[in-house]
Amino acid sequence: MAAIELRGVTKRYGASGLRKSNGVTALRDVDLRVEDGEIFGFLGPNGAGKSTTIDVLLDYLAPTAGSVRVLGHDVPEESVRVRERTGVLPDGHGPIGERTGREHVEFAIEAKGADDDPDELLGRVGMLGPEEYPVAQYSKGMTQRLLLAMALAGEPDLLILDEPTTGLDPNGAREMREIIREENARGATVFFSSHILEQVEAVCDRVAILDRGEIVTVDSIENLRERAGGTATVTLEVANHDETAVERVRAVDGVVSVRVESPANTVSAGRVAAAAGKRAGGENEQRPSSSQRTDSAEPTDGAGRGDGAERSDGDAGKPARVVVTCEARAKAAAIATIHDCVPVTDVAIEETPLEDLFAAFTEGVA
Amino acid sequence: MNRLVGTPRRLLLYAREDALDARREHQVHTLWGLFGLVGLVITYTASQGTGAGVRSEPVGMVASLFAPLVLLVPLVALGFVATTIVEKRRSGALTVLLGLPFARRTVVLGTLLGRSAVIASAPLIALLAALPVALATDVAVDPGRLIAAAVALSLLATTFVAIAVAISTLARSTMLATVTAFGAYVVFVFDGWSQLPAVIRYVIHGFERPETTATWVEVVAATSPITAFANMLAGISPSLTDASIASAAENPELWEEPAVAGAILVGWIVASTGIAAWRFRATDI
Repeated sequence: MAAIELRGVTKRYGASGLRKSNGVTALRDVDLRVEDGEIFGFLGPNGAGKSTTIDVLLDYLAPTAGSVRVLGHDVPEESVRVRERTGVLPDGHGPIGERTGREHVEFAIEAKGADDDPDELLGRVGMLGPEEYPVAQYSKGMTQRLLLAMALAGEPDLLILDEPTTGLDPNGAREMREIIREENARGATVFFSSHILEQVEAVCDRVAILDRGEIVTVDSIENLRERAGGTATVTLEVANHDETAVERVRAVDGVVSVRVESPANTVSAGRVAAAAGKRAGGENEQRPSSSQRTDSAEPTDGAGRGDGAERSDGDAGKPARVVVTCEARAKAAAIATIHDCVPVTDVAIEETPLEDLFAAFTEGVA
Repeated sequence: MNRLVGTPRRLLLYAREDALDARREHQVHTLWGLFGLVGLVITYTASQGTGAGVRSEPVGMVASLFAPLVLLVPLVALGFVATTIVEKRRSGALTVLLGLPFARRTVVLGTLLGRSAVIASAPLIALLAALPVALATDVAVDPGRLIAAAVALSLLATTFVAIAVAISTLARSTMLATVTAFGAYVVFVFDGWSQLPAVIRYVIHGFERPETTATWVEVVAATSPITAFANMLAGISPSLTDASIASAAENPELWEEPAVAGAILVGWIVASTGIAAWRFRATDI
C-alpha cells in the first residue's frame, strides 16, 4: 500500500487585487508514491516546492489541482484521520503560547488519544531537564527536539519531517537519524525533506528530487549514481593477495582500473571499516571524505596516482588492499568477483559526491 | 466511531488548553484584577452616594455596576481575543496545532469556548468582588437581579468573543485584527450599526433626510448586538434595562421582542462562528 500518493498535484499561489496575473506556481502536476515502510527523502533546491508539498500532505495548503492521499485517506476530506496516524515535525513552527516543553508533549499525547509516558518521549529526544521551561525560551535545536517528541506520540504509522535537522548540532543530527531508523524498524514510514544530502543518504531507501515545482526523479541514491554515470572507488581488504582475483576483477564490465596496495598502508583501516559498517546499517556512521581517503590510501610505489596505471604492490599470499575504480553500476560485480576468489575482511565504497549527483539532476543550488 | 468520540474530546481539550493559555499569558490575572477593581471602586462609590443624605435615591449594587460592565465586556472581548488565532498563525503555533489531529473547526470552536469562559468570568469577578463591599456598606443587593445580570453579561461576553474569533480567523495580520476589532467596538457599542442604514437612505435620497422611516432600517437597527442585548433584558429583568447603555423599545415590534432579541444574540454567535469556520477551512496556513 502507498503511504503517500500524489497524483497530478498543482499548487498555484494567486496574487490578490490587481496583480492576480503575478501568481506563482509552486508545484506542477506532481506525481509521487511513497510505499508503506519506506524511509523516503525529499530533496530539492531552495524554492523547489518541498515545503509546499509537505504542506499539501498535511492539509495546511489546498492543492489547486490533483489528488492527495495519505495512509489511504483523501487529505482534503479526511485530514484529521490522517493526522491521527501521522507524526509531524513541520517547518516554520513556533511554540504554543507560554506552554512548557512538557505541556507541549502532554498536549500531543492527549490530542492523539495515546497513553505514552511524557518522560520517555522527552528522554528519547534528550529533552529531560529543560522540559519545565516555556518553549518560547528554547533554542532552535531544542525546539526541533521537542517537536520530534510530539511527533513520536502515539506511535504514528507515518512520520513527516520537514528539515528535521535544522538547528541541531552534530550529535543531535545523529540522534535524529537513529530515531528515524528506530521508528522505521518499528514499522513506520518516514518521509522527510532535507538540504543536507549526507543526512538523506545516511537513512533513506529512496529519494525524490524536486526542482522548480516538478519531480525530476525518484530512485535510490545508488541508482541515481548509476544513472548520473558517476564512478565509484571500492576498497577491499583481502586476507591474502591473489593475482588471479585481480585479473578477474579487471575483466568485469565497467571496471576502469585496479591496483593492489601494500598492507602496511592501513592507517585508515578504522575509517574504512566504519564506512563499510555504515552501508551495512551499522551504528557507526563516520565516513571519510574524499580528501581523507586520498590522503590515507596513498600507495607506496606511486601506483594509481591518477595516471591510470594498474600496478600491484602486494606479495602473493599476504594480506593486501585492492582498490577498484569502476562505474557505479559495476560495484557489486567487482566486490562479488574478489569475494569469490579470496577472503575479504573489509569493504569500503566511495561514491560520486552527493553534491555532484544533486547538481546533475537540478539546475538550482542546494 | 473513533471519529465521533474523538472530535468532542479534542474540542474540550482544545478549549481547556486555550483557556489555560490565557492564564499562562497572564490575561486572566489582568482581567480579574481590572474587573475586581471596577467592582470594588464602583460599589464603594455607590455606597458613599447613598450615605449621609448626599443622595436621596439609593442605587443597588447591580444597577451601579451594570452599565460599566456592559461597556467593558465587549471591549475586553474584542481586545483580548481578536488577535488570538492570527497571532498563532504568525508565530507558527498554528502549524504545530494543525500537525496534531485537530480539525480547523475545532480550533475555531475551541477558541470560542475557551476564551468565552475566560472573558465571561471577568464580569462575574466584578460582581463577586462588589458583593462584600455592598453588604458591608448597606448598598442594596437584589439576588434576582444579580443572577440575571450574571447570565446576561455571560451571553454578551460570548457574543463579542464570537465576533472577535471571526475577526481573528479572517484577518491576515495582528495589526489588521486589532484595527478591525476597534472598529467593531465603535460600530456596535457606540451605535454606529443603527446609523448605517440611515446614512445609506440619506445618500439614496440625494443627501436629504427622508420624511418617513423605513421598516427595514428599524429591523437592521434591532440586530445590533448591543440593541438586541437591551431588548432581551426587558424580558429577563426589566429593571436592568434602565441600567444598561442602550434602552429597550417601549412598544416593541416583533423584531424587538425579548425572545427575538435573544435569538438575534445567539444568531450573532452562530453566524460569526460559522463564517469563521467556513473561511478558516479554506485558508492556506
